[in-house]
Amino acid sequence: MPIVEALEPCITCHAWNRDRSMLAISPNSNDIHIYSMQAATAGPPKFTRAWTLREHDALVTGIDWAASTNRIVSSSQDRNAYVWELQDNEWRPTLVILRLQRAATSVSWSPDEAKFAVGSGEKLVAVCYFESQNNFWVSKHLRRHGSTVLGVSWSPSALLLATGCADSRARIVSAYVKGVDKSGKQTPFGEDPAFGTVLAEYACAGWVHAAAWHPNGTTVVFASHDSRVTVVSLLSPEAPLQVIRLRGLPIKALSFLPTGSFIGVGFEYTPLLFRQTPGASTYSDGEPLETAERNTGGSFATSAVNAAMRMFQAQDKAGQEQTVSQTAKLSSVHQNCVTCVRAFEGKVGGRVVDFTTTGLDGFVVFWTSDELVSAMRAATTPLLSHS
Amino acid sequence: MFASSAQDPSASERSSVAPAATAGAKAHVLQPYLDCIRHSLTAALCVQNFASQIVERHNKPEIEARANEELLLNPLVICRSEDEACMIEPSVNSVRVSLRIKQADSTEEILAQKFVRFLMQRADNFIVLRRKAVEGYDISFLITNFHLEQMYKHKLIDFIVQLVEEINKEISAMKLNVNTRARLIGQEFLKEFVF
Repeated sequence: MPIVEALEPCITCHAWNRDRSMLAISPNSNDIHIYSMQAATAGPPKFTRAWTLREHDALVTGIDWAASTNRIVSSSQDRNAYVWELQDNEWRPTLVILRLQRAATSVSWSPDEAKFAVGSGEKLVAVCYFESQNNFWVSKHLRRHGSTVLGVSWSPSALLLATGCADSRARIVSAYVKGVDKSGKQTPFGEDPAFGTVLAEYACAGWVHAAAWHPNGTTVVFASHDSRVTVVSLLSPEAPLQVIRLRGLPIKALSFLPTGSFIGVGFEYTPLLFRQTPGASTYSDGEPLETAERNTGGSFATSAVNAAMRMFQAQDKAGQEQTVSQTAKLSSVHQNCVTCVRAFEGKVGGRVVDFTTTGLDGFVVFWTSDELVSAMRAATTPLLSHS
Repeated sequence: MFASSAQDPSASERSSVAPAATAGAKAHVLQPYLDCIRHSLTAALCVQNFASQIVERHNKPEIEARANEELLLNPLVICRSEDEACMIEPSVNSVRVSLRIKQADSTEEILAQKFVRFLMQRADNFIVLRRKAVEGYDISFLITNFHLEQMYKHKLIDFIVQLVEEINKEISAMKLNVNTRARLIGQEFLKEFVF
């Protein structure tokens, strides 16, 4: 069983620091909570809330923690982003000059931590970098998107950006900023592609929720609302290499593991593991990490009014109570939409944790390699797969 | 109003049947329709927090605002018969579910109207209920991402499916009551003329 920690009533997104001792989460509100985690050698880890960052005045939509510079960047529906730095045991915010008129939807540090990208409802991506003369973070707008940008992901070279957009298009765009990035860098699309050029565009049949880059930088995956995952190889970027049709509901967030496999989470509540085919850039169909069947049978009510009353009596509890009543519990670990997945690569309670997920049910779930191994085993046993 | 059916043991038994288990002896006429609604709702209720693209710092149900075509999905109508249907209109952050209730004669028409009016006047207590039904339908629900953050999706779907299941039963029961009462009154009235 994975390790489950119920931290908040509802979690929108989360991010870890470098040594995985601190966790920043947004509890579906304007605040950011930073927890410090004491990982015990056995048993569940201990969480204590260390800081509450309060500067945004609308829902925080994205958090990302830069590993080496130890900066946190947060984006919010109040059209702002802040870069937080730890000084004298206090997190100090710096406002980013985003120049956005609509909500920011997601944020991500570039791998070299010199830039970050903010997706927004203004149909553009703001690529931000530090201007040392003015001593603040400025942004360059990357347009050419037809609708709200739902997800952004940096290439390992920090030159290209994969974006998922609500106009049902997945794009690879250039985020090469003169003066910030060194010139003469090679990409699969030539040397130093001009900022904002759409290098590749793929049509999907639904809103593209998320994008992720393979650690080697040659494969990009996109997840869209039509319950499909599009795999693109930059060695032949004209058309998608593979389109994986999911058996269940759409994926909302993606994350690569160092092995080259990737994890997708979303409306199905159960994470899916997509294994890389050895020696190729294609992937398996997605093995669920929990094999138990979900039980959706309504065994609780005798009449509609009773059901309604119980639902409304329970709804305030469902939000605020951390224990889930027996009748309502699904057999999956997460009980609501899973909105964020992060690679972890550390040890918790004496077990190797590969990645963590958080969802609107308020759970932080640590998925260990045991789950990965058993999912793979289930996939290779024909009787058990997709039962 | 629904309470009368709560005493009906067969009703509670039926409602507790999981869709997967209905292939057996317990299947009844309405079940395919209910299963279809349940599965369609499960797929449709994949919503997320989505701030408005039109007005800054606003967050409106896109299915009601209808400002952007690309944020709306194709509406789906599940019909059991011409006068009994369920329309599901999904969008990026909200889903509108509308029900048409079977009204076979004028008594049922009156009862259905009174019944949905009673519910809709109390829409605030029902949280997901819309104050006004979509045209051509008798009762509408508006489910947003905020509702799904507070409530369990599967229970919300159970609630709607159960409402569909019981609403006809409820109206027929009320119709029977009205008829019985009318017969009694008629009898009593006609007794006056018996010598």
